[in-house]
Amino acid sequence: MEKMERRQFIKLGIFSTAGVLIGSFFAFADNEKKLEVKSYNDLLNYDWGYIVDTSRCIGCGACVRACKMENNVPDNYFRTWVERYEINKDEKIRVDSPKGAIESFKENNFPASEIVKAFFVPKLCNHCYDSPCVQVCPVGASYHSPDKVVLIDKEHCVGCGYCVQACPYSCRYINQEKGTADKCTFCYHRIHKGLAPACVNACPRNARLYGNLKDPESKIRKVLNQRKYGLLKAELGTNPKCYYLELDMEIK
Amino acid sequence: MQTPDSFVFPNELHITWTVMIVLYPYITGMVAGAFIVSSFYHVFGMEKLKPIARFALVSSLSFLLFAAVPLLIHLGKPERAFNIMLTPSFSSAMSGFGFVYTFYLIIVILEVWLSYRRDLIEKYLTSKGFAKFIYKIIILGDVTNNEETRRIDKKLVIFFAAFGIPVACILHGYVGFLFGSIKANLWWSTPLMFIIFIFSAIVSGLAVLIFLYQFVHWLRKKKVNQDSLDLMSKWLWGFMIIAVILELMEVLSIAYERTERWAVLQQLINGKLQFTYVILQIGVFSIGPFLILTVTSLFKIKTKIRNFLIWCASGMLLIQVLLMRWNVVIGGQLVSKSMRGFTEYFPGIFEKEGLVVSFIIIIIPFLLLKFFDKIFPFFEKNKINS
Amino acid sequence: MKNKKHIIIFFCVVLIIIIIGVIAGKITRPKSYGEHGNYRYNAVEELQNQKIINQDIITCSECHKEIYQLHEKDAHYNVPCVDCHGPGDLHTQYHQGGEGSGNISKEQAAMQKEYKFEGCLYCHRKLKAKPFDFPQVDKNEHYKFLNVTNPETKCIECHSPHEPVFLLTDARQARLHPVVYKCTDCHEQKPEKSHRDVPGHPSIFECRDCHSQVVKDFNDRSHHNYVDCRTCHLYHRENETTGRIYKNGNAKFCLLCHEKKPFKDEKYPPKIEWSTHIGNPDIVSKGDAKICLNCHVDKIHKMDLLVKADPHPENWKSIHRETARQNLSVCMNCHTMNQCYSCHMKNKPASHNFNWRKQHSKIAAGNKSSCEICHRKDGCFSCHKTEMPHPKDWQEKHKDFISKNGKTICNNCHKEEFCKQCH
Repeated sequence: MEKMERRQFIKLGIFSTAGVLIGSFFAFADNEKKLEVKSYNDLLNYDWGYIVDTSRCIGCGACVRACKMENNVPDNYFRTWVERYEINKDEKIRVDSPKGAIESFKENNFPASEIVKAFFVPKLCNHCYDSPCVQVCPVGASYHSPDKVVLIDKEHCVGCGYCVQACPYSCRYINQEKGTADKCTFCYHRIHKGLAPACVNACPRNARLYGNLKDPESKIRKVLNQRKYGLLKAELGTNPKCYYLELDMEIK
Repeated sequence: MQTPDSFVFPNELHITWTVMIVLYPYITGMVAGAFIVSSFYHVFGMEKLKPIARFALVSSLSFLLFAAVPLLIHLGKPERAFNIMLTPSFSSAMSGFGFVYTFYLIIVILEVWLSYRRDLIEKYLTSKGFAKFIYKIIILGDVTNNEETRRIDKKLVIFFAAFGIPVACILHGYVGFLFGSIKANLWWSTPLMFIIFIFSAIVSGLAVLIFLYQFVHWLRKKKVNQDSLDLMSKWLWGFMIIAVILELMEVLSIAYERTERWAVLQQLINGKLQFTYVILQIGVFSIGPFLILTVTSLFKIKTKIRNFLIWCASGMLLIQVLLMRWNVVIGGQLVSKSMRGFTEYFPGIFEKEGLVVSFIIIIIPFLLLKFFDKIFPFFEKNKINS
Repeated sequence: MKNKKHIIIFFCVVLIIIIIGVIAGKITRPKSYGEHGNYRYNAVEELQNQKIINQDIITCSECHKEIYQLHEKDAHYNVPCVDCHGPGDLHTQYHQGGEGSGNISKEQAAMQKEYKFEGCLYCHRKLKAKPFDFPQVDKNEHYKFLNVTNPETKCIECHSPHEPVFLLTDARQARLHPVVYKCTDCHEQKPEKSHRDVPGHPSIFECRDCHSQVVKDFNDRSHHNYVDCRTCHLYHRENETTGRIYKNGNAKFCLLCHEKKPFKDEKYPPKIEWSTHIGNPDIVSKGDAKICLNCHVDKIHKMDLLVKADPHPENWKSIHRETARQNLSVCMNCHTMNQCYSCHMKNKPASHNFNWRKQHSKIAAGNKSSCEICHRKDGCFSCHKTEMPHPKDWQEKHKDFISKNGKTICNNCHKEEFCKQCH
C-alpha cells in the first residue's frame, strides 16, 4: 500500500509541476502583449498640448469624420466639431454647427453680401491642467494621465454624468450604448506610436497642431512663442491646454 | 435646438441629468425636512410636535429607502454603483454620497428602532408564527423593557436626533452644493444654492408631514392635534417665506449684477422657463400658499376651513418644491454653455427615465409608508392628545 | 449592562456589516487603482493599445509611390489620403498581411477611389467663412464661367484629384511673391475709385504695380476678362506677408478650359481637340509640358481669342529650308514627318531639276543628311542599288554586284570607258 501511495504521490507531483509550468507559460505570455505600452517614467516626459488656428480652418469637416471613424463616436455626439461664426453689417452674429460639421456646411446663413466677417472654429476637449471634470468624478474614472492627458477609464465609470455637467466646453457626453462618459482622448493610442491624432492627421490646412509642451524644440512650443493666442473661458480657471490662434471675442 | 438665431454646442442637444435627478433632491429634501422636524421635538423639546415626531421619523425612513432609486435608474452603469464607495475620489462633492447615505440610513434606522422599541417588543410578545419571527429579528432578540432601557433609549434618541441634523443637512445640502459649485453651468453657479436647497427641503419636509398628517386623519376619520398643526403651519409659512426669498434673491442678484450670463438667463426665464418658473413656481405655487398661510396664520378663521386651507397650502408647496427642483435641474441644462441658445427636453412617457417611472418612484414611498404603519404605527389609535 | 444589551447588539450588527463591506471592498477594488493617482493605472495601458484606424500619408506612400510623388508636388500636397479615400485600416492590414488579415475580405479592403461630388465641395464650396484666398467655387457660377452645360458633371472630369492644377514646379517650392490683392477680395463689388485715391486705405500690392506692361496688354483684350492674373499664375498666400506664385504654362492646365469636352458648351471659350491640334501630341508625355507656350507665348497676355496664333512668319514656305536643314528636331516639336511628305512628295524641291541626276553626286557627297530629310537613309539605294558612296571594299565586291545586277546600273553614273580604267 505504501508503495502505491508513494507512486501516486510522485505522479501527482510531476503532473502538477508540469501543469504549473505550462500554466505559467500562458500567464506570462499574455503579459508580453503589454510590452508595447510606454512606462510611467517615460510618460512623465510628455505634456501634450494642442493648437487650433482659426484663420486657417475651411470648415471641411474632415477632422470630424476622421475622429468618428477612429474612435467609433456614436451619431449625434461629438468629440470634436467645427463651429461657424458669421457677423453681418448690423453687427448681428449667427453661429452654427450643423451635425458638428460632419458634412461640412452647405450655405451661408446671412446673405453673402451682408457678411462682413466670418470664420470657422474647430473645437475639442481642451485637456485642461485643472480640469473640472477630473475634480468632480466621484469614482476616479476621469483622471489625468502621467503625460497630462485627461482620460476616462471606461471600465470604472458609473455614468453619473457629473463630469458632463462640469465641463465648460461641452466636450463630454454619455455614450448611450456603453453607459459611460466619453470624450476626446487626444488619440492616446496614436500619439505614443508617433502618429498624429486622427483630427490633426486629417486636416488639409494645418489648422490643427499638436505636440509635447515639455520639449522646447517642438513645433507647438515654437508657435506659442511666436504667435498671440487665446484660451476659451479662461476666467473659469480651468487652465486649458488648447491654444487658439486668432481667437475672436465672439468665440465662447 | 438649432434655429438661425440659436446655437447650442453639438453635445448639448441631449441633456444628461433627466427627471430622475429632479426627483432625487426632492426625495432627499423630504427626508431631511421630516427628520429635522422630528428633531425639533426630540432635541429642542417642542411638546407641540410630539404627535408627529414618530411619524416624521418613519416617513423620513420610508423616503430614505427610496432616495437612491432614481440615481440607480439614471446611472449608465448601475451595476458599478458601489465604485463610489470602493474608490471614492474625494475631490468630488458627489464622492461622499455613499458614505453619508449609509451613515444617515443607520442613524434613521436607529432612531426609528429606538423610538418604537416598546411597541415592537409588545408586538413580538403578542404575535404568533411567522410575524413573531419577523418581529424577533427586528428587535434583535432582546426583550428587555424597563425604566432603565427606556431612559437609555430616550437619551440615545435625543443624541442621534441632534447628531442627525447636520448629517441630514449634509445629505441634502451636498446636492445643493454640487449644483452651486458647477462653474460651467450658467444657471446653477451660485454660492447660495446649498442654503436654498436646505431651506426648500425643510419646506418640503414640513409640507409633506402636514399633508399626510391631515390626509391620514381624514381617512381614518380622526381628529387632528390642532396645536401641533397650527405650529407646523406657522413654521411652514415662515420657512416658506425664507425659501422663496432666497430663491428670488439669487435671481435678483444675477439680474442686478448683469454679468455676461444675464443676457441669456433673462431669455431663459422669459422663454423656456416662463411657464414652469414664472407662472407656476413663483406665481401660482409660491404666492398662492403664501397668501393662504398668511391668512391662516394671522387671522382667525373657522377651524374646518382653516385646516382645509392649510392642507391645500401644504399640497401646493409640495408641488412648488418639485417645480423648483425641475426648474433648477432641467432649466440649467436647457441653456447652452455657448450663451447663445437653448435646447429642449421632454422626459418621454414610457422611457427608462420617463414620466411613468417618475410617477412610480414618487408614489412608492407613500405606499411603503402605509406598510410601515403596520410595523411602526405612527399615530396612536384612539388617542387624542390635548 | 443587560439594559444596554440591545444597543450593543445593534452596533455589533452595524459593525459586522461595515467589516463585511470593507473586506468586500478590498477584494473587489481594482488592482492598479491608486498606483499613481486617484485612478486605475491599467486604464492608461489599455488605452494605448486601442486599434489604429486612420492611416497616415507615409504609410500609403510605402506602396503607392508614384501617386504619392505626384500628389506631393501639386496643390493637394497637404490633403491626407484619408480625407478622400477613407481610413484605410482594413486596406493596409489586408495588404500588409500579419495577424488578423485573413479575416478581411477583398471587398472590405477595397478603398473608395472616386469621391462623390459632395466630397470635393466639403472643402471647395464657396462660403463667406472661408479665408478669401482659399480656392472655392460656387458650383453654378463655376460651370457658368466654364460653359459647362451638364450640371451633373463631376469635378474629376477636369481636375485630377492628385494633380488638381497640374503644377510644373513643386507647390512648396514655387517662387515667393508679396501678397497681391484684387478689389473684389474685400469689396463685394468693384469700387469706382482706385485704392490709392482713398485716404486711409490699407496699402496693398496689385499686379500692375510691378508688371504694368503685361497687365496693360492683358487689359487690351478685345473682350472682357474672365480670368485675372491669379487664375493662371495660381497665386496662393502662405501667411500675412508672402505668397507663392507660378509662371505656369503646363499644357494640361491650359486644357482645363480650352479642351473640347462633351459636357461643355461648343462655342465658348475657344476649344480644341487635343489629339489633333498639333502634329505630335506625344510631346507632352515626353517632357515638354509647356507645349502651348511654344506657339502661343507672345499672344497669351495680348491674346485676341478670335485670332489663332501662328508661330511661323508669312513667308515660311520659302525660308523654312535653312531652319529645317540646321535643326530638324525643332520642327519635330509640332510636326511629324508625314507633314513634310505631304508637301515634298508631291512637289519636289527646286534644286531637283533635269540636271539633278548629274549634279547631285557632288552635293550628296558633301552633305548626305540634307538628302535624308526626304529620302530617308536608304534613299540612295532606291536608284543606286548599293550604298552611296561606294563602300571601301568595292574593288572586291563589285564583281559580285555586276554578276547579279548587270552593268546597266553602273551606267547610270559611269560611262562605258570608266571600266577600262582598271579593266
